[in-house]
Amino acid sequence: MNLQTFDLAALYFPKKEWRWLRVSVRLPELDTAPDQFIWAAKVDGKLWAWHPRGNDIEISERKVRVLTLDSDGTELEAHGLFLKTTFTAAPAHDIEWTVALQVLTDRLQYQAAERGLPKFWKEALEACGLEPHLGILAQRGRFGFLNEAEARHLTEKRWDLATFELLESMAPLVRTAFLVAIQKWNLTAQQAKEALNFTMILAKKISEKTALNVLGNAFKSAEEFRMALFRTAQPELATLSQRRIEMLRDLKAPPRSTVYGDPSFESDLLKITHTPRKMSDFESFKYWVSDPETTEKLRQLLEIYQ
Amino acid sequence: MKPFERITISSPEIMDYPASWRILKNLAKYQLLPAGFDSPEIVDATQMTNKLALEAPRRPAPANNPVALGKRILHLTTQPGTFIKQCPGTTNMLCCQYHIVNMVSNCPFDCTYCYLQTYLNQPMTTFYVNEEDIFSQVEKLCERPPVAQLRVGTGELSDSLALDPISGFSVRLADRMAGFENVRLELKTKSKNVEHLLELKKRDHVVVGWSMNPREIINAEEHGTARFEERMKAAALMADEGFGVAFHFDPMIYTEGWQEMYEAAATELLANVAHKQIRWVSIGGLRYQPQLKPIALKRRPETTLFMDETAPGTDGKVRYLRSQRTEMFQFLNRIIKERAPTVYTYLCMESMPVWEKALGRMPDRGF
Repeated sequence: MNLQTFDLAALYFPKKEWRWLRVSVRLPELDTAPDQFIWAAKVDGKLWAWHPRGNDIEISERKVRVLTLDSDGTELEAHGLFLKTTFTAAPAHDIEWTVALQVLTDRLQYQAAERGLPKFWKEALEACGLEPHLGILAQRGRFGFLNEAEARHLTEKRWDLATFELLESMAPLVRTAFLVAIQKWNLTAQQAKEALNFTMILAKKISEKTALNVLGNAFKSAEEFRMALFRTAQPELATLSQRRIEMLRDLKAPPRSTVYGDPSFESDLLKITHTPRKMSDFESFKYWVSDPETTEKLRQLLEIYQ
Repeated sequence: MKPFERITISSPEIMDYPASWRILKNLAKYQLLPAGFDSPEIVDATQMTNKLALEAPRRPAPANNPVALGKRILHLTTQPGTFIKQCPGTTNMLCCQYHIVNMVSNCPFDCTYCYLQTYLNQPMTTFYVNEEDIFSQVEKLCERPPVAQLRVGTGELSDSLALDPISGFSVRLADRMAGFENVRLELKTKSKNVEHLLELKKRDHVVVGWSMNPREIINAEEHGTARFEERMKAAALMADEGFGVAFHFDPMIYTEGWQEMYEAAATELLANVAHKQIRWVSIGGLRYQPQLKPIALKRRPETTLFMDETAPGTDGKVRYLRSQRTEMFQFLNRIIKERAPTVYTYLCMESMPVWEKALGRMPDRGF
């Protein structure tokens, strides 16, 4: 390793080539941050550089301190060093492994299935707490269909890759409209996944035009947006859901003043209002309301879904 | 069926088993060996699995899944553990107390809704060649007081008969079970490969079960399988030859005109197969783990299977809404009972309320 100060013109930042996803940061000035440096490795005689945490970099100075890592001068090894250093500093989100595998296969023409893990990938995987084998990469590799905007959204939200799995089977126009629509709201991964499922049903079963219309409407809230998709895609289920809400309201729940704020009550209430699965889910709730009439109502409520 | 692309073994010792040689001989007989085949390759199954998983997303649909690629590789190995298990059924649903013997995993057929796409850890078409271990485990299971009927099937991780002419497992298994009382071996299939079963001398304990759907659904969603007529002819032949037969209208698919389609299919079937040989008919609706949907849509973008109103059940599997399922099961059960009143029908992986409403009775062991 070799720490030197370089003029910016001597460095190349492979933002596009290696498909950086992490947000842009401003590099502090040399005088105010004497310990600040960036990593680099030689690629065909030129220095390819990156931020220690893998972020995109904004630099106002002309000069930066660079710690050059030893490598064989190939892009393959430099990319391995990039993964090892940045994922050690800040473990990768799954989508970053998907992207890394795409770079490896598409840009660097390296077939991991035939040749095994490239140099430094073992350390990079271990830095993320992952077993260093191809199976781990394969699980993430199947999400290579995600485009840059989708990948960035997943990175930003830190959502599970499976949240967007249905996008692959969706027409490009609907896919773009879906991403634009969900970016307006602060949805959870589960809500986004459900919205995607409903969009898929609308586009395939009714028409892409209908899906685009619903996605393009102006909504007042995330709830309204989600319900519009739900009601259009699954009207009968939406009706059942409404019936469930009415039945829940009809339950003789204890006055909120007596139990409000009790975490157990809140959790039991959440369980039966959001994901009632089986009678035992109601058992603990019955602790709060144990009369036979309520029990019968709970049974009927559960039957809606069985 | 096309020849396999690769024939692999897990270690050189695999070739010490007679089943391995029999399989290779049958592959040659049916011209299913890869072009220029010399001898099986020795491979590490885990490495091969990882390679297929990495390769699959880069293949065009419908080959873009490891299980699809695994259909083209025949792998011979042994399994040290238990081959028999009780059918996993599904949580909170009623189960028919079925026992499963897994001698083969993965299937040459490629149904759109196949759960193997989300189920197999190793995607290669795998034959377990230590069949003596398998057979002795089955015999041990059969050595119980014959108070209740024991139903054993081989069709969980593969179609029971699709590859059977190659493996010859079913005839051997049926022979080993022949001496036990109140035992039934069910061979569930979507194939027409039954002629090799005719070499069995004792047949009354063997039930050949066909998974059935209307022609339109078979043609659109059950890729590579025998067509409706072929299955029906094979069933009629087996019934005439003294085998028990069974039908599984499972998964029933909700689609436009489903009533007419299922009525026509059940009517035609029951008009052509001797009722006294029909041991049972099961009915079940399309159900799947949520993760199947994106995989199946990726492989078969043209399918309309997953676009209907569904909800997750108490076992986590996605099903048509209860009202829909009940209507479908009730309808088909009525059609079957009108045409073949003596035939026993049951529901697969359904809850008590659905049994009551659809069949008008609670589950029993009436097999």
